Amino acid sequence: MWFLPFLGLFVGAALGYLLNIEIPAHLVKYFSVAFLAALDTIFGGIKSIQDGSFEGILLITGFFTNMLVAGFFAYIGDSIGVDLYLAAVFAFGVRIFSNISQIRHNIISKYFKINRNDNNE
Amino acid sequence: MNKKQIALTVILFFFGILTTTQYRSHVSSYSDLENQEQEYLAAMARELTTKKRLIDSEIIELERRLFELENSNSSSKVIVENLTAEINNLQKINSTVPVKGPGIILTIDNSSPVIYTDLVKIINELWNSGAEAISVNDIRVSSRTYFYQSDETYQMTMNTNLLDAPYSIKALGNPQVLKTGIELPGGIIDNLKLYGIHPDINTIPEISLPGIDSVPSYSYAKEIN
Repeated sequence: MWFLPFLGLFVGAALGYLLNIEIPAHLVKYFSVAFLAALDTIFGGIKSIQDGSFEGILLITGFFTNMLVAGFFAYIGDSIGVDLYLAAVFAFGVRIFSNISQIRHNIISKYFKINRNDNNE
Repeated sequence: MNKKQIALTVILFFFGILTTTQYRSHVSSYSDLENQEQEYLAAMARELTTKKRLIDSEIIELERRLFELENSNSSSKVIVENLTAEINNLQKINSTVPVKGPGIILTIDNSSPVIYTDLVKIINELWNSGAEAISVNDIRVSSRTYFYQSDETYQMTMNTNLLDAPYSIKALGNPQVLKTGIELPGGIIDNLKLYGIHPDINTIPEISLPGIDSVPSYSYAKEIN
């Protein structure tokens, strides 16, 4: 189950490293927000697999739209002098951590048969 | 299951690309001066200032050397100038170049019974009076000049040239000093008067004397250091 996705990750990482695409310095910030969005989508995807609510096409479209919108929002925020960038970092950070904790819960409850409905962290 | 795998693989593939690209861009922008810590920048500035001071002192040193070289250059120029001046002086002394300047012309007419020793005595007296250049009938007197007179014909020769009256002796130097020197009482002019020779002496503001025809080349004389 997890072999192909991890292969994809490593191939992508190797490709990105070898291609050595230089992101223009003034865009690095927006790409970092896009990166957070991507991370959020991935953990959301993993969670949805565990939930059984997974839809491949939703994940892929969500992945790209979230990245683009997050980067774009950060850019717009910079343009009008509002740090939407920070809002994105905060929102995605919270979501990522909550997703991670849910994933952890799911895994642990799956193996140790703990009732996943009591919500103590 | 398969669809899930493919979807996850696709997004993780792009995520990988994004991650490494972002990482490399961040690393390269991290090393950008704009994004450096203030302490680090201060240290860098200090280091560069030290380097600059070193280079500055090197510039000063090199400029000093340049100055020295230019100086030695100009001193060699001075040497050349001195040598040129010395050559010119020696050429005048050795009569190898034509010269001009104030002086006197001493003329002895046809009727005078002159012998070559009279000419030698006149020339000696002129040298003694500070003459810088002397010519007889426009032949320059040099260090190798000799006079000769045939015992039979009384024909005088100077070097290899025949000398015939009237004799015109030109001497370059201070005209008054030369005139006074040669007319000293009991001197050569008085002596010549005893023989009925009355040279005509004129001071001239500018006379010109030729150089000698050919410069002798010496092959035996060696310098003694």
